[in-house]
Amino acid sequence: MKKLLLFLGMLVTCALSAQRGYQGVVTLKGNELLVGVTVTLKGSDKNVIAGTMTDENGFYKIDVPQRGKVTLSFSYVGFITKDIQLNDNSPRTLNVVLEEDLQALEDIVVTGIVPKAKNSFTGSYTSVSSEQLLSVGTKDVITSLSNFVPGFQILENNSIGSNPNAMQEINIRGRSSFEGSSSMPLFIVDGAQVTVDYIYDMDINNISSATVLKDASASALYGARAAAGVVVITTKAPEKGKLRFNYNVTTRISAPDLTEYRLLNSAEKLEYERLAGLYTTSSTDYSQQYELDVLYAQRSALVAQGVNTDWISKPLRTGVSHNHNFSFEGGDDNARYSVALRYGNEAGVMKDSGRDRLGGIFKLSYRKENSFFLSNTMTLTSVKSTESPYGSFSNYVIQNPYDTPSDEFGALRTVLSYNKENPLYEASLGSFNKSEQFYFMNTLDANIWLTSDLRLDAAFSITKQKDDADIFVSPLSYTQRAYTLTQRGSYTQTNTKQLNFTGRLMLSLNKYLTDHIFMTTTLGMNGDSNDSQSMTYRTVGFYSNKLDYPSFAAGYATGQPSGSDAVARGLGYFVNGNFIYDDKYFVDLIFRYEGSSKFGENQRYAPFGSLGGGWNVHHENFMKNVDIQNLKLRFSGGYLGNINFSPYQAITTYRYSNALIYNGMVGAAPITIGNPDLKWERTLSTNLGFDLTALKRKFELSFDVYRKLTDNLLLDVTKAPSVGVTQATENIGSIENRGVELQARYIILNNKDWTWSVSANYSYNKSKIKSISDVLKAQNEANNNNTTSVAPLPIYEEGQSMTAVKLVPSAGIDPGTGQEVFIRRDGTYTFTYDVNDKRIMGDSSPYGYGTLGTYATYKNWQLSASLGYSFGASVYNTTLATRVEGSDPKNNADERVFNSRWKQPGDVTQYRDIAITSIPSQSTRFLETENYLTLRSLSVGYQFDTNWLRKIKLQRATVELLTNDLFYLSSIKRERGLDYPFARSVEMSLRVSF
Amino acid sequence: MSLAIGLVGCDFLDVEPKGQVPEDRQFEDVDGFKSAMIGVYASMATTDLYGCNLTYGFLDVVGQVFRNSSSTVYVGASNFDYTNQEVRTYCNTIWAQMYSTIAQVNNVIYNLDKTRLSSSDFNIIRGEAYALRAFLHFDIARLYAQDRANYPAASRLPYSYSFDLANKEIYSISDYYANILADLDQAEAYLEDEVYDINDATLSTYPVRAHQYTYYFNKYAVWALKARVYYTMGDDANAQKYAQKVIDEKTQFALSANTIAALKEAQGFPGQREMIFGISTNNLSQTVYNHFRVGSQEEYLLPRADLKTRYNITAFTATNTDNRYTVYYEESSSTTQFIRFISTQNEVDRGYLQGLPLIRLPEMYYILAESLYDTDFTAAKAALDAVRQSRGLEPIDSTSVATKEDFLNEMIIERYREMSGEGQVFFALKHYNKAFTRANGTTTVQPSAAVFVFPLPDDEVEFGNINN
Repeated sequence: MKKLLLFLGMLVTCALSAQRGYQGVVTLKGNELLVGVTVTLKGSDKNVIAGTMTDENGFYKIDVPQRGKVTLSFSYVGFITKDIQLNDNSPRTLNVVLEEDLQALEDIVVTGIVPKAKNSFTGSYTSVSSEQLLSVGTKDVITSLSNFVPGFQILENNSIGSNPNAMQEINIRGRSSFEGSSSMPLFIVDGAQVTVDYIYDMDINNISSATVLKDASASALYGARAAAGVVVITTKAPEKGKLRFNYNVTTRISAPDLTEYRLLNSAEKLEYERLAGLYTTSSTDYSQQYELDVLYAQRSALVAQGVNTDWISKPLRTGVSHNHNFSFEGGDDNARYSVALRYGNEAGVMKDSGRDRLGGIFKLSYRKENSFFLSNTMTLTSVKSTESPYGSFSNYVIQNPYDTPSDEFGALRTVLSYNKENPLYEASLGSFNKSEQFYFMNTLDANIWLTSDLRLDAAFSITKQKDDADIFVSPLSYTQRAYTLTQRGSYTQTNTKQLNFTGRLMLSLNKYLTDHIFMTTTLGMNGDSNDSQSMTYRTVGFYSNKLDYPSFAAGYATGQPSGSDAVARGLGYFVNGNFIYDDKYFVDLIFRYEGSSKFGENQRYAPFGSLGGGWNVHHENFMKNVDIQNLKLRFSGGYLGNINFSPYQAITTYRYSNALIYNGMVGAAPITIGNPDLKWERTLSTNLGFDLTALKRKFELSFDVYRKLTDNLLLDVTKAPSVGVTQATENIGSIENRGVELQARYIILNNKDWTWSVSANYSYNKSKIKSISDVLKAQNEANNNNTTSVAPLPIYEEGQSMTAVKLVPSAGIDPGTGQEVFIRRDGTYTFTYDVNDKRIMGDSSPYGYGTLGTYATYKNWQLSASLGYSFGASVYNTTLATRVEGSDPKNNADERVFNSRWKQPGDVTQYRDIAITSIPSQSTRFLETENYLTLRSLSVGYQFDTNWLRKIKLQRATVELLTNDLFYLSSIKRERGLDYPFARSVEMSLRVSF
Repeated sequence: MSLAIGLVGCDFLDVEPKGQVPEDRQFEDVDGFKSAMIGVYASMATTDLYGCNLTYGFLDVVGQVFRNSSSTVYVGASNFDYTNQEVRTYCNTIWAQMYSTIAQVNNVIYNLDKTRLSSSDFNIIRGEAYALRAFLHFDIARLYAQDRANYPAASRLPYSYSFDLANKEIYSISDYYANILADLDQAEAYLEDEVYDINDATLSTYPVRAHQYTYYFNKYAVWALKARVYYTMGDDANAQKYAQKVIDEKTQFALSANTIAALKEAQGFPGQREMIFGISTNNLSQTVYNHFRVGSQEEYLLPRADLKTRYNITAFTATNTDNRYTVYYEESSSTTQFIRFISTQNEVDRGYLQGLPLIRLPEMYYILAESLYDTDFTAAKAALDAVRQSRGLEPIDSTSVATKEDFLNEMIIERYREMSGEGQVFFALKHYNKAFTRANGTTTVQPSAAVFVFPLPDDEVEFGNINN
C-alpha cells in the first residue's frame, strides 16, 4: 500500500521557558483518534527522558525538562513509528498522524514457508508473541500457547500429572485418527520440521512468535502433513545496534497439589478394614480367628500410640528450578549476529525427578537492501532427564497409615502389611531411569531479489537428534527375586538416532496487475528425508547395586536385540496465488502436489490444495462513519493430508528369519502382502470466520466455525484368509470434526497511568465417526464386553462421537442389600449386570473450554491473570470406581469409603456394601459432569524506571512474580495425578538488558 | 526445472526398509528366488502345517490314529466337533496358513514370469513351485471339501493364482482338481529333464539334485502326487500309470529289506529309498517327544485302543510278524506309546528327528493295488504283498481279499498300519467313505460330510467369494 504520509503541524504560540511541554492529538490518516499510542521523549544522545501515552481522545501531553534538541517518538502496534526532531523553537502543539505499517510483524502471518500479508490472508490462525507467552508462564511453549489459541487443546492426562519428563498429547480442532499419535500437529521451527520434544525443550525467551495454523487455507502449503494443524515457531532474529546483552533468570518453586487426595487416617483405615471383614473368618478353625484378633489388637495398639504415617508426602518434595538465558546481539544494517545460551534445571515435585536443559542458538545474517538476504541459525540443545527412583506415586497412596516405613532401628522395612513391598525401600536400592537427548539443528535461508518484484527463496535445514535412555533395575529390587542370582538386576540401554534433511526452493512474484489488483504468487518445491534408527540391548546379572554400568553385568539377556531402522522421504511441488482487489476483496489459491515414500507405487503422489476468499468490509465506503476499524470476512476450504504413520505398509517386503531355516539354509518370506493401492489419508477442511476490531480499537473479536472431514483413514480390515493374509490395511475410516472458536478482547481502560484489558476464548469441538472397519468393530465388541477394566474402554460406533461413553444406567444402591440396581434396556430393574444393557450415556468432550484472561498496567507495574475453564464433559470418575467402591480394604482408600458406603440394611447410600471389593460394574453411577475452573497463571511485574537504570548502566530491567496452577475448582471430586502429582508453582523472573 | 527434479523424485521416494527386503530387490538375483523357495518349504514345516497339525497332530487325531482325553482341541477333534471354538481355531489356522504359503509360491511364480534373469536353476524352481501349489491346494480340497470321487459336485473352493489382496476365484470341485492337474502338468514338464541321484552323497545347496532331493518337491514326488490325485479322483488308469512310474524308478526308490533295522531306517526321515518327499526340520524333536512320550503333557497322544487287533499281533509267527508294530510302538507294563519318529530323551537332546515324510513309496504300491484290483487281481495282490513282505508279513491270504469289499477293508487297515503319524489316514477314511471305529476302538462313526469336511473359516464365508 502506498499511502501518503500526512503530517500536519499546527503552530500555536507558547511561552518560552526552561520547562517546555508538547501536546497534541494522534490520529490515523487524520480521521481516527488513536488511543494508547506510546510517546517517548529522547534526548540528543538518544536516551529516553520521559514517556507517556495518548488518552481516550488520542490526546497526549509531555513535559520536556531540558533545553536543546530532543526527539519525540510515537509508536503504536501495527503502525510505523514516527520520530519528530524538535528544538527550542518548535511549535508546542504537535498533532501527529500515524500510518499503518503493512510490513510490520503484526501484519504478517508467519506460515513458516511464505510470509503472507494479514489483510489478504484467508486462513484461520492465531499468533502469539513471546511477551504474551511469557506472561502466563515460562515452563514451555506448548503450555503457554494453550492459553491463547482456541481449538488448541492439551489433552489432560491424569496419570502423568506435572511430571517434567512426560509429554502431553496435543490436538488442534479435535482428533482425526483412531490412534493418538497421528493427531499431533506438525511443529515447525524456523522452517524446519521438529518433534514435539524439541518444542517442549525450547526456551520461550528465545522465541519471537508462535503461530498456530488451523484451517486449509492457512496450512495447505504443508499439504500432506497438515491435517492435524501446524504450529510455526520463529526464534528471535538479531536486531541491529551496538553490542547488547540480555540476561533472563527465573527461579521457580513447585509444590505438589494434593488437595484432591482425601485419604483415611490410621484409625479410620483400621475401622474400614474391620467393617470390610478383614478380621473375621468363617473358618471353624478357631486358631485362625485368634490370629486375626491378635493382628487387630496389634494394629489398634499402633493406632492408639498415634502412628499415622503420611505416606503420600514421602516421595514428594518442593522442587526448586531455575533457568538462565544469556544472550547478546548486535550488528549494522547489513551484518547482524546473535548468540543465546541457556541453562535450565527443572525440578519435579517427586524426589530426584527433573529435566536439565543446556542449549545455544547462534545466528548470523547478512542483508543487502533489494539484493539479497542470507541467514543461518544453528541450534544445539542437550537435555538430561531423570525419572524419580521413587516410582509411581500411586504406590504411596495405597499404603496403610498404621504402617511405618522403618523399623525401630531405623532401617527401612522391605515388606509392609499384607505383604506389600515398601516403595521407599525400592527407592533406596539405586535403580534409575534416565535419558539424554542431544539435538543439532542448522537452518540456512537465502532470499534473492531478482527484480524488485521477483524473489527467489532457498532454505535448507538439517536436524540431528540422538537419544540415549538408560534403565537400571537394582539386583536387590523386589521384582528381581524371581530370578536366579546371576540373572538379578538389569541394565537396559536404548539408543535412538534421527537425521532429517529439508530443502525448499521458491520463486515469488509480488506485483500490481492493474491499479486495483495486487498479486502475490509463489511457485516452489520442497523435499525432505528422515532417517531414524533405534537399538535396545539389555544386560542382566549385577552382583551389587553399586555396579550400575552394563560392563559389570554377568551377561547379556537372552533373546534378540531389538531395534528399528526406518527411512521416509517426501517431495512436493506447490503454487500459491493471492489476489487482492482495492484492498477489499481477496482470494487465495494453493495447489500442492506431493509424494511420499510411505505409499504404494500406484498412489505415491496425491494432490492437495485450498481455496480461500475474503472481504475487508471496513474498507468499503459505507463503513466510513462506522466505529469499526477492521471487519474481515473470510472463508476457506481444501484438502490436507496426514502421513503420520509407519512407512512401508504399501510395499511387499521379504524378511529373512531364523524361523525360516530349512535343511541348513535360511529362507525369506513376505511379511505381508503389500497394498500398492494404499491412498493418502486426507482431510477436507472448511472454515468460515470473521475478525472484527471496533469501538475505537478497544474491542477485538475473532470467530470461526469449521468442519473437518477426514476420510481414507488407514485401518486394518479382515480379508478372506484364502487371499493369503487374514488382515490388511486399507483406506476405510472416516471421522468428522465440527466446531466453533471464539476469541475476544476488550480494553476497558487506557490512559496515561492505566491500561486494563480483559480477554476470553472459547472452543467447542464435536467429533463423529462416519465409518470404521470390521476389525475395529470387533475390537469395540471386545472393549464393550470387557469387565476387568475399571473405566469403560473406548468404543467407536459409526454415527457416534469419538469420545462417547457407553455405560449401563444405574438406579442406585438397594438399601436392603447394598447391591447396585441396574436399568435394563426395557426399563426394568435388575441386580444382574449385563454389558448388552450399555447405552451411550455421555460424551467426555466438553461443551466448551477456553481461557479467561486479564491484563492491566499501572505506570511501571503490570498484572496479568489467566483462568482456564471447561464445562459439560461427562467423565467416568475412576477414583470413585477404584478408591471408593472397588477399593481393596488392604489398601488405603478415599475417605468416602468410610462415610458413604452401605454398611447395614436400611442405609441409603451412594456406594455399595463396604464388604464388596470387586471392580464395580461400568454403570452411570460413576459418570459425572465435569466443570472446572483453574487459575493457570497470575503474575505481577515491574519495569524499572529507565532513568534510574541508566545510572547503573542498564538499558532495561523487569522483574516478575508469577504463579501457575494456584487453584483448581472442579465439580468432580477425584484424585488428580495418579502416577505423578500435579504441581503448583511460584516463580520469580528477572530480565535485564545492558 | 520441476520436471527434471520430478524424474529424480521417482528414485528419491523409493525407500528401502532395513532388515526387510522389498519385493523387487528380493527377486533381483537368482539367490533371492532360492531364498523365497526355502521360505516356502520352511513355512510348510511349521507346526501350524506339516510340522504337526497336518501330520501326527491334529489331522491324525481327526483320523482316529491317536487319542487324547485332556486337551479340549484334541478331544473335540476326535469327536469331529467342528462347532467347538478351539477345533475351529485349528481349522481356521490351517486354512489361513495353507493359503498364506500358496501366496508365497504364487509370488515366486509371478516373479519368475517377470524376471529378465536366466539361470539353469529356474526350471527346477519353477517346477517345484507349480508342484507345491498343486500339493497345497490338493490337501485343502481333501480337508475342506467332500471327497472328489464320491461327491464330484459337492463343494466349491478358491484356487489361488496370485499374490495380491484381491479375493481369489472360486472353482467347482471338478474345475479345482483340473487346476491341480494343470499345475502338476506344468511341474512335470519343467522337471522332466532334471537328473536326480539319490546315491550321490554330495551336499549341495538349493536346488538339490543329489541325495537330499527328496527334501524338496522333486520330479518323482510330482508323479507320486499325480498318482494320489488321480486315485482320489477315481481315475484308476492314470493313478496306476503314475504309481507304476514311481515304483519303476528302482535306482532311486525301493521298499526296505525285511529287517527291523532296515525298516526303522526306511520309515523315518530322510527314510532313504522309501521317502519320495518330506519336510526337513530339526527343531521338532521336543514337540514330537512331548506328544507321544511325556504323559504329563496336555497334547499327549495315545495310540488307538484296538492297536493290537489292528496289527493282528495274536497271529504273529516266526515268519509272519509285522515289524511295523515293533518299529512304531513301544509296549510297557502300563501303556503302549508311538515311537516311530522319536523315542528317547537322548534322541531329543541329539536332535535325532530331522524331518517328517509326506509322500512315501508304500503308498504307491497301495494305489497300484487298488487301481488294478478290478482288472488284474494278481497284480493288485502282488503290489500289496510287496509291502507286506518288506514289513515281515507273509503274503495275504487270497480268500480274505476275494471281494472288493474285503480288499478295501484290508487296505484301510493296511494304510493305518503303514501311515500312522503321516496325516494320511483321515484322507483314507474319507476316500473309502465307509463306517469306521473311533480311536477308542468301540464307537462306530457313519461316513458323512459332518465328519469328513472341515468347516470354512467364518471370515472366508463373510469376506470371500465363496457364496458369490
